[in-house]
Amino acid sequence: MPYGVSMEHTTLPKDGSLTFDPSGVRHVVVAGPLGPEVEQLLADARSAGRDVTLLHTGTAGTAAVLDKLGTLLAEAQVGVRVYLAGDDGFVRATAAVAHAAGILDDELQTAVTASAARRVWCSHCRTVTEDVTTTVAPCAGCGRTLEVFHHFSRRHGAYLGFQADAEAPGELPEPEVAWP
Amino acid sequence: MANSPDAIAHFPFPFDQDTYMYSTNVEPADQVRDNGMAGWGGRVYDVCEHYRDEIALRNEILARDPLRCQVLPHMREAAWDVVEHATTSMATDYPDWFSREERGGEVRWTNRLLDLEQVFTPGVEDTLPEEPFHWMMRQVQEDIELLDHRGDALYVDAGILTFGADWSLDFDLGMSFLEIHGPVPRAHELGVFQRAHTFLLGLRAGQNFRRTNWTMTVGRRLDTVTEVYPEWGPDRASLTYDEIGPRLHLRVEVQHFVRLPRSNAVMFPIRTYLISLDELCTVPAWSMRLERVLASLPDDLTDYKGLARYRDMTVQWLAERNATLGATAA
Amino acid sequence: MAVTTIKVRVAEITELTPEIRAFDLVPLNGTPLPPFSPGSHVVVHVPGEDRVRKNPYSLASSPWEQDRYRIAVRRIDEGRGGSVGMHERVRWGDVIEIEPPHNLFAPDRAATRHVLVAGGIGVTPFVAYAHALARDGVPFELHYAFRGPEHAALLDDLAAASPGALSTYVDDDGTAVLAGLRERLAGQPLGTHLSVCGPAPMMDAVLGLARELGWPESRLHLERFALDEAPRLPFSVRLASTDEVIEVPAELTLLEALEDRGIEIPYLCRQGICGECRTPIVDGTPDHRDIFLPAEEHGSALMPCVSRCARGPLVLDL
Repeated sequence: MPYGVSMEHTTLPKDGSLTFDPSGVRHVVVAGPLGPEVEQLLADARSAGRDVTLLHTGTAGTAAVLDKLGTLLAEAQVGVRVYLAGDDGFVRATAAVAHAAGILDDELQTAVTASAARRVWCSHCRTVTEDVTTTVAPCAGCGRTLEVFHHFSRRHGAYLGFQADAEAPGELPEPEVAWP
Repeated sequence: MANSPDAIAHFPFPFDQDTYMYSTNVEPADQVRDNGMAGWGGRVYDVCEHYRDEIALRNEILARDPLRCQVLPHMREAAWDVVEHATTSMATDYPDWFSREERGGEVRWTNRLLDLEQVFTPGVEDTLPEEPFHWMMRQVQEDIELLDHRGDALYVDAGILTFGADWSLDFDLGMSFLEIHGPVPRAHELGVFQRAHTFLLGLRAGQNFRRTNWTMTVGRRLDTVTEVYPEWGPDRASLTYDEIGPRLHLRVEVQHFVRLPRSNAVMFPIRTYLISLDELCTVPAWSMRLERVLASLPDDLTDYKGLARYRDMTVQWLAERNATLGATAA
Repeated sequence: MAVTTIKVRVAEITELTPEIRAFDLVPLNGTPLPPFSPGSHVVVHVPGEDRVRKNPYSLASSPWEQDRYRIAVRRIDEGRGGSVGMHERVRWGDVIEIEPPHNLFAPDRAATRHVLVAGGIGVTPFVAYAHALARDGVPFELHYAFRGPEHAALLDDLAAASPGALSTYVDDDGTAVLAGLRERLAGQPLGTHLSVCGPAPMMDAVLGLARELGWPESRLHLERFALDEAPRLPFSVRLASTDEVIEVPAELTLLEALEDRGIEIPYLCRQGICGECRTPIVDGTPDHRDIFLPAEEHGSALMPCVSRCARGPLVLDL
């Protein structure tokens, strides 16, 4: 961890496992794709006698799922709970949609159940590069080599990236596989 | 764009000790602060000899990158609060340059420095040529962040950043005060931001506070936000010993904390001052203190402030310069 | 930092109900009153028999009116005396002191819709809410319960500010308003926030109903009054070095009392936050009111800008 940052106060998302929240009256589960955690959540909801709306990438692509989630939440009412599971990139992108629709922290649970590969926002061209597994990686937009910084924006659903060799061109840190 | 002797005398030299560590260095903003010279502070909006140049620079930056200034929809009231606060304060503090007359719900605003006159109705957007916060920000030298107070947190939901020190408003927009400062080393362990946060939550309208922050910049360059790091980053590596005097600048931010009365938002103006080390050395007390502060700065803070590449040679340069000054004085 | 009070004239007193009076406060010399945000209160220095009481009252007028503040005061005979003082001692034309507006009950501005629920005198902050939300074009509904038609205060002000948004309930025990709310709270669009102000049992019942219908805590808001109103009693301290005893009257802080004696303590915030005025103690138990001092130092130091004496004799290491 660079600079001795206090993890407790960073913007890095705090994930956990998904737990059925009986205080909600409507439940939306978004999975990319289905896995044992989500199956368990669905079982818990069923045994509590609650209906669940399930969106997952098994039947539609990620873009379609994001779209559907946005439409669904635009019409949702207070009382809804949203559960997100999948790889890190999927969870951050769906969480950004949920937040934009007005979902608050205590209405949302997230679990990274697959790859930890990150979405990285290039601060120079503002392109989001998907599936970044290394601490240093090329930007899909401008091609600069970005260093992935421990700072996360929920609005963008992405981590901060900046040119790794801006001060001395070519002087690059060794990339490490940090988020396989 | 060098500083005049008068500007140097009013420079907010930030160190009152020979060592530096983070602290919640917040103080009431209504007094002039002693700096051993002519003092600084006392006004939220500081209009100085660089006013026209810095406004022109801001306009250029906004034309190139409109996302440097953003206002989320629910910050509309706060934007109008800024217009009222800035026009009222500037007209009071600098009556020769600005005037504000209110009559029948309309405000007539005159900015003689920019040769601008505008009649508008507070709260009515289309009486101004553009969104109110944007309009006002083209007339002050401060970057201003607006923090929405929701529940027990403050969210940066509007702001402008054209003269920032290595952060990105577009990335940080919408984050809470504590989240934004997440990457700062040590400060959390020291409780600095938690205390500042609690302090800001209780901030009252009409009671303005301020603090300073500092770093260093190579070249007299105000725009060092993360977006343009590829432009200013190379300066850090290219600085040579012989260029330290004219090129290396102490960069000081005077930050104010103001509770806006109608929106209950917290306004956070950040004014950036640059002084070259040559200029700074015209005040021996400052050059001696800066040498000791830099020499004792812990490595992690040196790194975080981006000084690692030239800290040691700057300490040496200051030591040499101070020895000469000492010899001259003796 | 000491709060500077504002002198205002009581321009009008209106009997709203048998128990509630409205006071219209206007500036003395035509200088506009400070602007404020909806939900703000002012602390009124209420003249009393023996001493001045400082009571907070919500501003129940439009935030865009700067030539008049309106507060509404319910007489509570068993209270600390502030409301009785307002009813018995404050007369038309009197000049009284108020502290500038401060807000501890601001509307959530990111909300896209508001449900406001008021019981009795708790309706006062919602007058300013209604003005502000209507002006901003944010949809809201206001549910207002009172014991009987003769107890309905501020109805005209509310109806003027919130045409079509007001539902009223004649309600002694909260049954009617809860029945009405059950349906309303079940179908609110995501983005709605609920704010409640009224008697504690009613607030508990409304918030309980909302939770039952799936409302998360972050959408629930209730009026809290200033916590810094904890009573301040006079006490004395002794300086260890000189044995000098210094009296601290109720209206002064320890820091102010020390400064009055010419003892300079470094300070910055004067609000118990920054830690600058930390002063070591050698005896006694302070009443810590700051947020700076860690618990492990509670026996050895205090912040004189806000903290006082719990058990004396308090001896400062000065």
